[in-house]
Parts: sequence; C-alpha cells; structure tokens
Amino acid sequence: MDELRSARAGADAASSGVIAFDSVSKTYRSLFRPPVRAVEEFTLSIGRGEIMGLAGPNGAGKSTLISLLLGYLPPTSGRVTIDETSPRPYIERNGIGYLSELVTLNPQWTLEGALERLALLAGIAHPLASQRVEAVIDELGIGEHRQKKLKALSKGNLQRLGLAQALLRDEAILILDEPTHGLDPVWTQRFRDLVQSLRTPTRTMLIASHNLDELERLCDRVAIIDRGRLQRVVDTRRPVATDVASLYHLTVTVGAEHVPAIFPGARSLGQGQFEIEPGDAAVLNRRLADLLARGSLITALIPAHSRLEAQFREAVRSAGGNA
Amino acid sequence: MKRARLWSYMGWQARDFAFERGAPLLIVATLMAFPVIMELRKIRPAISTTGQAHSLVVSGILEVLSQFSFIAVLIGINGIVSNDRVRGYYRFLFAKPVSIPRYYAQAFVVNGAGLAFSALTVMVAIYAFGYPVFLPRALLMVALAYVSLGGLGFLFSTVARFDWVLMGGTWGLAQVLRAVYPAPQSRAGRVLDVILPPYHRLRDVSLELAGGDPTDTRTIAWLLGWGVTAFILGLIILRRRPLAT
Repeated sequence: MDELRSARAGADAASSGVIAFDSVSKTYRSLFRPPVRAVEEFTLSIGRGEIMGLAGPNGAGKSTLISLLLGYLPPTSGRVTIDETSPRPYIERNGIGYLSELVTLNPQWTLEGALERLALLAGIAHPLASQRVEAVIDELGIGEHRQKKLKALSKGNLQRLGLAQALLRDEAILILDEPTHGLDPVWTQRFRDLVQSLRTPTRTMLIASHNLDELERLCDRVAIIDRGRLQRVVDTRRPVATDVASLYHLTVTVGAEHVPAIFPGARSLGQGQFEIEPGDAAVLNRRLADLLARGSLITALIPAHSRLEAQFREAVRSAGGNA
Repeated sequence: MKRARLWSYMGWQARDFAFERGAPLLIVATLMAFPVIMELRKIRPAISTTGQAHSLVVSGILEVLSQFSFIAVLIGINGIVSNDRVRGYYRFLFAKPVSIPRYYAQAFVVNGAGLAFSALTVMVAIYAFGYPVFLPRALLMVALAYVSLGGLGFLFSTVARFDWVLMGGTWGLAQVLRAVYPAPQSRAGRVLDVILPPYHRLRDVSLELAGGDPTDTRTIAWLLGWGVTAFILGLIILRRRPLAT
C-alpha cells in the first residue's frame, strides 16, 4: 500500500512539476543482441525548488533516466518534459547545471581553459566569464591546479572541476550524477554544505547517488528505482517520531548478560554490542526499561539502517521478488 | 533565455583544430612538400627562363597541392562530430544552452579555415624555399575539395563512429561501380553516374580551377551540390537524432 501511495503521490505531482517523466519507457535495441528494457513506465514529477534524490542499485536505470532528461536519448514511449517543454529545446534556451558520473572532457584541456570554454557555452559574456571562472575555482578550491591538463588531475579534482562547471551560472535546474564520487570526506561535507546553500524556492535539483545517507541528508524526496521501474518515493522530510526501525544496534557496557533474556533473538556482535529486533515502539521502550531496571548501562541505541536504507532494501527486495 | 557565446567560442575551436589536427597536417605537408622543394631548388637555375618548363613546374606544384588538399580534407574532417560522441564530451558541452547543429557547423567552418591556412603555409614554403611562384588560386582547389568531400565526411561523422571507414568505402565503391558500369555505355551506368558522388571529377576540375584554365562549371556545381547537400543532411540529423547511443 505504501508503495502504491508513494507512486500515486509522484504521479499526482507530475502535473505541477518542473521536471516530469510521464509513463516513460526506454528500450535499447541492437542488431545483434536482444533488446534491453532499461526504463519501464516511469512516472515522476519534481517540483520547483525541490531537491529530489534518485537511488537504485547498479544497472537500475538511473543513468538512462538522466540521459533522457538531458535529451541525449529519446524515450521509446512516454514523455519527458522540463518546464512543460521537451528537454533539448529547454536546454538550448536556458541551459542546466549538470555533473555526470564521469567527468568526460578533453584530457588535453587545462582546468582553467575548460572552465573558460564552458563559461562561454553557458552564455556568460567575456569579462564576466573570467570572474565566474575565478569564483568557482575559488569555491571548489582547485586554484593550484588551474594550469594542469585534465589528464593530470586526480579523480577528486576532476569531480570538483565537474561541480565547478555546473555552478558557473545560476541555473534553475541542477542535475548531479554521483556528485561525491571520488571526493574525500572534507570535500564531501563541503559539497553537502554547497547543496544546502544552493537550495532556493526556484532552483530544482536532481541528485543521483548510491550514497543513501547523503540522499537522506540532502533531498526532500528520494525516488527508488530498480530494474527500470520506480519502486517507491520516500519523503525524507516526513516527521519520523512514529517510525521504528526494524533493527537496532544496542550497546550495553554494564549488565550485558541481561540482553538476551530481555530481547529474545538478540544477536551478539561482541564487546557488549547486540543487534536487536524490537517490534514496535511500545515493546522497545518496555524492554529498555526492563534492562535499565536490572542495572544495565546503555551507552548507545542506533538504528542498524537509516529509514531510507530500510526502504531501499525493502523496495529492491520486493522488486526482485516480483521479477 | 541565455544562449551560448558560440562566436567567442570560435577561438577555442581553432585552437582544438591546431592541437588535434595540426601535427598530422604538418607531417603530411612536410612529407609532400619537402621532396618537391628539394627538387625545385636543384632545377630552378635551369628553368627560370624557359616558358614551357615554367608551365610544367607550375603544373607539378598544383598536382602536389591537389594531392595535399585531398589528404588534408580527410584529416581535417575525420571525427568532427563522432569523436565527441564516442568520447562522451557532448555530455558537458550540450548541457549548456548550445545549439548542437550550430556548434558543429561552426566547427566545420573553423576546420575549413584551418585547412586553407595549412595549404597556404605549404604554398609559402614552396615559394620561399623551392620556386618563386605563388598560386593563390590553389586555395579555390582546397575550398572545392573541402566543401565537396568534407560535406560528405561531416554527414558520415554525424551517423557513424568510424566515419573515415565509410568515407573510404564510399569512395572505393563509387570507383568500382563506375568502372563496372561506365556511364555512356549502359543505362545502369548513366543512373549510377548521377547517384554516385562525383569525386572522380574532383582532381581534374580542381586543377583546371587552380590553373586558371576554363572550367566545367556544371561539374563544379555538381561537386559543391553534393557536399552542401550532405552537410545540410548532417545538420538535420544533428537536430533530430539524439547524441547518446
């Protein structure tokens, strides 16, 4: 029911969204190989000012969806629109900020040269283009590499260049495909701060990532896709007070011997840590109270999976079951 | 609405041409011009006063320039669209507000200018070091080769990954079919003569054009028509066919 409700919510929003996938399917055909159905009957709408996440296992169809959204691939059936226009006409008129999973630019270009070129293509006039290039170089901390050829840049620096070029202009739409891929923890955090600073009521963002924790932190909703189908849309801004995770990691430093008696089925992970399956919230609280009453000292109680991760696992599992 | 500053981007396209195609062009130019220059230096004292010998030398230089322009066009046009598609560069370039046909049409013009410049360099080298004759009309020959052959190369580059294979295949097939079905003798030959690209006439017409001789304008129009039509078809394909495969 949850799945149905989520999918229906997405379909309802389709009419008012800036980005809309309407029953989109994509089948790759080849002369010598059987056809591959990459996306099937995909319907999703992303509203103005919304940050939408796109999650799915490898080969789920995320990259195909992004190529459809950029107009680099035509849908086999259905319709993709940006601001009620087909993708290519929209992009040719307005442009979008886009970072692909792999930064595919000519390896012979220098970092600064690449940004200057892309600034011109972004429609920024000459004196302003140089200022914008300087600004994004500064913002992404890649000044020391400006004269290096792209082939000499590390994966992380290439990724920062990719982000820099996506931010050259104040775009209304940003599409970021695995944006923190290759970034170190410091820059991953800076990227998250950057995304938060880019949030405005008029800017729409789509972030595809394998990192569910990242999507949960950054996005308003996350679409989970598997085997080319939309499995569910998780509202990550929904209040979580009533939610109970299915599995917790419980750490007890004193009186750990009481845990198996109070939580039947608890699995010891060693050093006073247990994996417990609490049932509902009332049961969890009653059992924790019992544990405390027996003199145990609880130092940590952490959901084994984030809410999104739990939904993701369930969605992918049920998609596998339906396949 | 914000459009790409494609006009300003032309400088970068020229730079790409120089860096990516400059080295092979320089090698071909050197290999072709160097022996000619050395030979001309040897015979120059003997022929400078003789009218007939002078004409022969000019014809020889034009022949070399004709061969150079043919090879240079293949180098200049190869992969003009397909390289970006195969290597995935298009993903970043065309997320910007860029008209894809306009971008590549401009690249076609820039590469053509680059080829004219390289041919001019060969001509200046021959003039300065080989034989004091400068033949600016040879640039018309380069332009004709570029528009007629390059237009077809552009079309192939929009549809295929290995455009140079298609180019060579088309050329070879046209030659074979023309040999098997000669135009005046058979009905098939007469039909094929109209359908097939008329590149078998390119060399003769180019030499007439460059030498200032009376030229067959109908054949020139035929060659240019083929190239321009193929080029326009390429632009239509770029407008209609998505870049990803």
